[in-house]
Amino acid sequence: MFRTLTVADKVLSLTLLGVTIAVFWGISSLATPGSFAIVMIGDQLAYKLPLDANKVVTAQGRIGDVTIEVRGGKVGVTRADCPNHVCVRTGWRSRGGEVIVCVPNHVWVKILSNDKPEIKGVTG
Amino acid sequence: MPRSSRHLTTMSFFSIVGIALFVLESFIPMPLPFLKIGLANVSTLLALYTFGLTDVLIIVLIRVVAGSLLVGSIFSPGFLLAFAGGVSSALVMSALKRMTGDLFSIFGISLVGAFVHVIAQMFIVVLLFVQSTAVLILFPMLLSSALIGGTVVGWIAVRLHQILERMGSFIPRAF
Repeated sequence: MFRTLTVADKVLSLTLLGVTIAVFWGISSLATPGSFAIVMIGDQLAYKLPLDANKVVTAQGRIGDVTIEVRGGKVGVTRADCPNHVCVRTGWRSRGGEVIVCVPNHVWVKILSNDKPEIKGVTG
Repeated sequence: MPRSSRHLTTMSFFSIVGIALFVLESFIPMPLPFLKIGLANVSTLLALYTFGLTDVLIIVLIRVVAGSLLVGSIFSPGFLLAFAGGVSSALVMSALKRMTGDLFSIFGISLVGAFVHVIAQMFIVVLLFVQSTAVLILFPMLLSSALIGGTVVGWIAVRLHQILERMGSFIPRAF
């Protein structure tokens, strides 16, 4: 197989691999930072938390309390009355569109961004 | 000059191989509906090394139209994507091959074709369907699929081309 590849083929393959990795990196770094988080209980909006102010709130979920904390521009669930603590293990999130869910409590946190995606400039 | 019946038979053979691969590929499950290996590109590649650009474009068109008819996606967004991707990658691959001569093997041409294919599709999606650049989030994934697909297709095409060369008389070198 490799005997049939020309030098140009190999250079091209490596270049395209590099381009792909660069785009991967570029797009993920362009992802918009979130500006605030909303806390939902079922389909009810419970809290709206700006990410630039540290705050701790407690949402009363279906089977217990869920503690949501904003700290240092990130939001995370720090304590929850639920069997698996998937929400707590999701950790701290800060990018627009990211979601933390506590399924047993029907509580979920979604990060929103005010501004249009900055990505707009890239298509050219 | 009218094409000889032998020429036409070989062209139909390449078309039917393309159609078969196109249909075969629709059976391969993919994590996301728009990710594809691009197996049908094997027929475009081999055609490029056998025929001139006009004939290659005819083969691509037959493949996309007949393949979509068989799969049931004709005139759907998927059809338009396959059409745009197929034609643009055939054009670019042909131009590249003509300009660079023996610099790249079929493998390199295949990789370029795969990348042109996904980039063209991205343009169509942004221009016609979504009208939002949020789709760009998918771009890295599409590029990776082009990388993998172009490699697989290139490898298959290299091997098939070797076999066809060995059979010699099968591929009419010049018309």
